[in-house]
Amino acid sequence: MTVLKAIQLSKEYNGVAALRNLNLEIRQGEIFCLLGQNGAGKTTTINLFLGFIAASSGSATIHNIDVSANNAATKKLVAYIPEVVQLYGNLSGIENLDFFSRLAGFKYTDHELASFLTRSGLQTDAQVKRLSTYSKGMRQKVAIAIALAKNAAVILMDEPTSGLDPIAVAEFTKICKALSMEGKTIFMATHDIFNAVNMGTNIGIMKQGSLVHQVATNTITANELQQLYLETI
Amino acid sequence: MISKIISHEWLQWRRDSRLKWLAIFLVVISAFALWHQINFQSTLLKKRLKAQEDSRQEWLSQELKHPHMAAHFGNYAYKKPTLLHCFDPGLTIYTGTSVYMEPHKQNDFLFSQSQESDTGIRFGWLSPAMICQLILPLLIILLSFNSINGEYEKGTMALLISQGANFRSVLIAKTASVFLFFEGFITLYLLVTAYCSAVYLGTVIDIYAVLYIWIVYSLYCFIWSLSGVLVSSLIKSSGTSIALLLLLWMFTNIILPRGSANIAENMHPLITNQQFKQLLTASIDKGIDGHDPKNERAKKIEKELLLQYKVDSVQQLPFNFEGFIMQQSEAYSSKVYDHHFNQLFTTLKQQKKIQSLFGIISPYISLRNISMAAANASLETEIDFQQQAEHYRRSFVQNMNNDMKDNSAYGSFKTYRVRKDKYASIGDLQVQNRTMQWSIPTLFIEHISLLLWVLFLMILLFISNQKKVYN
Repeated sequence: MTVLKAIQLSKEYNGVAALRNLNLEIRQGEIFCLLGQNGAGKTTTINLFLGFIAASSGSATIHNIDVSANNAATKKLVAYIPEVVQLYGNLSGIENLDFFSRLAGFKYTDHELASFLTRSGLQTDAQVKRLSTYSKGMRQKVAIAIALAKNAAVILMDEPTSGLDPIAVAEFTKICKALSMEGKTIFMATHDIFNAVNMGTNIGIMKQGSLVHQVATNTITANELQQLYLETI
Repeated sequence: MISKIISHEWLQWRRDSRLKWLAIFLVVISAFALWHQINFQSTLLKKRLKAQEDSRQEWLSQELKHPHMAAHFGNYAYKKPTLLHCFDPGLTIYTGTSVYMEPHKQNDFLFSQSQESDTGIRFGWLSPAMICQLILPLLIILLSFNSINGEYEKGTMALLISQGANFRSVLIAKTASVFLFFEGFITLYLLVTAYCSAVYLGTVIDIYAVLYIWIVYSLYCFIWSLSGVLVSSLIKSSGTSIALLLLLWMFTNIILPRGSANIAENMHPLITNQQFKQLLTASIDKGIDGHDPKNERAKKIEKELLLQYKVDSVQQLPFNFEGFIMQQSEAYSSKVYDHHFNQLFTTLKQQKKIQSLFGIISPYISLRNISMAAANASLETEIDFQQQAEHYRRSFVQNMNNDMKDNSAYGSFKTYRVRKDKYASIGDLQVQNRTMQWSIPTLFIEHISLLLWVLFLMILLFISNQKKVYN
């Protein structure tokens, strides 16, 4: 079943194309990794699916609902993990999660909130500490817990492993795979070629706003993908 | 959604130690300002009541004199404190709270150099109104300057929006969280001030005045809260937004009030004390000298009266000619005072109007004028006090002159004395404090200015769009 779909999706900023005629279909349970240099159009694509910006032409749909036409409905279907996850430093992990869950319309007990954080890999004793004491990896886990608590069908991630240490990346990959097994669809912009191959089911390579290549990870090795990526950009 | 963001904001503030110190600072300075004003006003009231009582006793116990000489003993008019004087002493810190009344002379409050006025100028500026007008916007700025761009900097705005929050509801919630926080402070501060005023000054609680001033200060608080949040939403860097907001505060609350006063003074220059006195003296010299019934104008009146009453000498008139001349002299000097004081008041009102117009670009100016009017300490209420005192002075002096005219014989200036009960029959001036209904018509420009500010900011709020930020 197609969950995310882009049809001739384009975005221009003051006459400069940031995204050109993107056509894309991502099915349920897929982990789609989008590679490309800075400015290739990865974040623009994510922002269009989130409805943060309006498309210049074409359409983006989530579960066949047009994002620009019914953004309130599509927002309910997606969770978002940004590159910079600072959250609120004065609040604990559990308080941050509680706030964002309430915003999404969910009211959980402390026990339920703790279980989301535990599932995302955050240790129990850290959950009640203020976020200002967290490492980037720990904050990333809170962001994952926010996505879990929202029970969203689609998780959009913008360079989520950027700045994480290898152990944190491994933990993150494990969680994403588990989510994929549960039927969640993950769409991720990343610079990490090896992790994309390791984690993703499909990979797209973007250049100057266009999706140049789209490959299934079971048809390519990490080295081949690196070669293709370097040749493309 | 909005209530969730508001409670979330407040929870963050409670955890922020810097804000705790700011809150402590606000409470301490507010308490000190209130204590200072209550102390200042109650001391002033005690002194005033004592002086009033002493002067009444002196008036009653003075020896029996010629009525005009008794009138020269003089009398004082004292302003009555209102419930909100402790909140906003307004112009009273410059004009003082009393005026001396005597025959032939209208003393004015403008050039008064009373000790209380001097003390007021030195310390009177620290008042609850000053805290709410100047300090509160600064604290609002400190809580709102990064309310929106700070969320972008933290990366949480995208999360807020993706979790279902609408950008406009984030703006509304952020504004409401700042506004409600300070609104709580204003409400409590006003109530405590009104209560303390009633207890320590014995003033009557005027619910309408308190309600009115609460609404106006709430609007002011709302204007600053919304300005802070909107600037934060329009400027990407929180460092730039705080600089811009502080500049805005400085411009509207410091530069414009002084600048507008200078512009008003240049457009409608106010006469100096020396020039004013010279003009009065010159005009009065052209009139009748009440103490000299033989001067040229008195002679002319004498002729007319002899003709009118068909008598040969002033001794044959059915009243004391000297008393009549004294009355004419007072009537003439009253006309002179009315003329010159009206010119002075007109100039002052013109100056105030110019300043009021600046309220369109500075809500502080509008609020200041409204606040002073609500506290019965505005230009209009000061002029009204002056006029009440002058009205009393004239009736008091004419009362004594009537006694002279009707009960004494011509040439008995040195021998005639008032009756024993005359002094007691003249009561003290009961100054009438004006109600809000009296002041409201003088504040049309101020009301419009504040409403325009609210309207303008609300329009900005409703056209704001997060897509512009991402684009």
